[in-house]
Amino acid sequence: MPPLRPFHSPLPLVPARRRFVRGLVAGGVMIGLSPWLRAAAQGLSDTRTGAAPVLSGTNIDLVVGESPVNFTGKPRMATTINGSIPAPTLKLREGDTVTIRVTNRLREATSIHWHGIILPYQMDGVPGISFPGIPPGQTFTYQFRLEQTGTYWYHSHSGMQEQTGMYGALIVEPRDADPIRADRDYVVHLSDWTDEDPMRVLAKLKVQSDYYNYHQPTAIDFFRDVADMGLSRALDKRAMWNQMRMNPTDLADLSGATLTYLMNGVTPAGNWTGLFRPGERVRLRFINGAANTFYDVRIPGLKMTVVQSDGQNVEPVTVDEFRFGPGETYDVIVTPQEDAYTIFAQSMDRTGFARGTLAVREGLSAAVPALDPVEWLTMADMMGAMDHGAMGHGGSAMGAMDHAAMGHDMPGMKHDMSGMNHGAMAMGHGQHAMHGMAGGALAKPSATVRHARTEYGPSTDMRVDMPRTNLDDPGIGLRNNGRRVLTLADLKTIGGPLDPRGAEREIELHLTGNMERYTWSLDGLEFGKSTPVHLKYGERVRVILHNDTMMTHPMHLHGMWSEVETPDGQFLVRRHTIPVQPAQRVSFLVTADALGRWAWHCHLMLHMDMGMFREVVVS
Amino acid sequence: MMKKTLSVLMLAALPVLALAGGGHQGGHGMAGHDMQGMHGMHGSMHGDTSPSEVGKPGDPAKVDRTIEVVMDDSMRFTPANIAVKKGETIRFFVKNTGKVPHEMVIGSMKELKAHAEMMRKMPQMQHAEPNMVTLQPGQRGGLVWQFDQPGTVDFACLVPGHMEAGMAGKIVVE
Repeated sequence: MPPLRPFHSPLPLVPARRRFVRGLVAGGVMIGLSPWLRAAAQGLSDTRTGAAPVLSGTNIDLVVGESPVNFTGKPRMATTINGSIPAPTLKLREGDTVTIRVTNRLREATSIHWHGIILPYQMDGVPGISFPGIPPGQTFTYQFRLEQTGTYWYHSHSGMQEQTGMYGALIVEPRDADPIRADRDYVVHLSDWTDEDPMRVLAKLKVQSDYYNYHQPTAIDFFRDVADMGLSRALDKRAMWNQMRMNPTDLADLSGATLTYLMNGVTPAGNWTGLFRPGERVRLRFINGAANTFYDVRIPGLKMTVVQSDGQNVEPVTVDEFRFGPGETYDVIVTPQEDAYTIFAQSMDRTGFARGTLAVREGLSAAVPALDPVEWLTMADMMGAMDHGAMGHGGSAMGAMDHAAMGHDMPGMKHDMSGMNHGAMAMGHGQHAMHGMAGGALAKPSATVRHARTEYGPSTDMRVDMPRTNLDDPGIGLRNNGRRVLTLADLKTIGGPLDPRGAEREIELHLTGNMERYTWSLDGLEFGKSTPVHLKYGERVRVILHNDTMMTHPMHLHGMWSEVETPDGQFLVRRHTIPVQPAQRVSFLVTADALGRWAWHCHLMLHMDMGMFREVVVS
Repeated sequence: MMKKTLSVLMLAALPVLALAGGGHQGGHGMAGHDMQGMHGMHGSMHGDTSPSEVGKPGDPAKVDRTIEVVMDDSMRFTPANIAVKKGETIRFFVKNTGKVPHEMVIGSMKELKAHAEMMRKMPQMQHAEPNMVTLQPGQRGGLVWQFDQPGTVDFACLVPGHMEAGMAGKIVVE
């Protein structure tokens, strides 16, 4: 148990250049308003943060509008639902038919998508696919029956509204007793906030995709490499990355330089607090509602027992830490005994964190850990498995392959690199010898990589020919960190798959991008250039997602469950959002049980907006 | 002795299954019994039902039509009467909306009854063949079947007691 002490600033060892904005203590309160801004805000009450109101029953009214916030000392307008960030928590009941009236008080069209909820496609809330959107001044009535239970969330699917505050929790309580017992129950909704106009942020990235990356290799890194590996190897390493025109610190598009990381709408300095009595079982419903941020979550001093993933109960697994991306949810049970614990959620790129406290009374805090060091991407992250024999591929062995090892211990490496310029990352030779299909044709996911012809164009700057298929890699920055970190391979949905059938056919889709142009796509086709993926009603399809980029993408399929399988074709876990790591190949089965038009996209908001989005038609 | 009894019972139920030829990967599975041996047997011994009477497993890539079938604890299939055309390949997309397991097995009434009898004697037996789908509560699934002869084909839930309670239906092939 860390010693109790008042929250103090500055945080230990945060270099000045990190420029992470910890935010104001009172997140929602307007201070220091200039007269003209004050006038503009007149008649508007401040946004409520930290304690989302709870709405329940079968008739719910939501009003979308603008309301003032001040997270960093700069007053801004947020897009809010019922004047609250997060939006009200909807507590609904399994089997109920709910009617939700959404009124738009904005000057632009809006929408609400019920993330992970199984419903008729017309109620799914994606403008241009499910419905036309909700014009200013109008009310749209959503109505659907809740067939499932668990922790979900809802958010705008229009423009930059989600990023500017439009997200809330949606909890479906079981009609019978909840098999997960807890004495306390808190939503922990993580998000991120930028004071900049999101459209302007996007414009900057289009011009320079690493605009917000403050971890670029520096002269100091170079001298450290010289000390570690000698001058010629250090030069080789720098030359290698330069030649590829890629960046080993490209872990996120937006960083703490522009983002403030929020927990239940509260800044780290504001310290959202959940109360408990020692010995109680506390259920924390973690929702990643951020537009841009993968979070690594832990509670120093407490083990977390993961009991639910994307709303579906899983066989309990006890961990110290988990990573999740935008769109994903995890429910965990903790049993705190001491007075105070920090809920620490650092961003994957290690430029900042969201933070709150579990405590026996208000006003307490526990030590806040330092951010972990930035770990550079390895070649395995960029190019996949490469040569299995040489790399000791498999499981956590991947973690041992850090950049130092690349430079030192792999004499063959440099040669491979020099031949690897982007646009022609051809490592294809040998893949056929490695992967063979055994047993029934579709019993296992196909391991033969098929790059679509459309991938050979300006929208794709790299292709991975020997992907990693193991699911037990916690990911960059979490490997061998001394903590037990959750992986996809740990998750097993209780009760097995929703459909006992095997795959009847296979669809392979590649996650693609061009960093220099800041475009994102699927199979090299941005949304506007693509045609829908067609599924036949009632069929059972295997989908293989193959990541040809250096970033992790949380892929969210609307309307139907995605049942993740092992590389051997064994059922693992039912998800609505699946994170696919760099150079990874993940497969899952989908039963096309929902007629209509659906969205399928990366839940990193800017990636979605730039084209990593497909329509799916079930007919 | 037990094994012998089982084999005999299965033979009665197997003509349909034998039609699946090499295509089926499921097979009956039962702890403690050598299922390999049983599989070997049914290939060589056809029953008295002609193959084309009930049809054969269809190709999922060549489905003509999808028919949705709901099974629930009222011990009914909805719909219970289905009409198809000769030669059609049908995907039956089946949902179990009940709170107990159900299954849909296609065959002649004679075969179904024999299979049901076997199920009653050995309720623990897991089985999976192209002419059937077993679903746990809340599950969905399906089977693809091609009807190549005019006539009537039966289907039923062979979970013990269910067919007797009326959980059966008819497919008229025109």
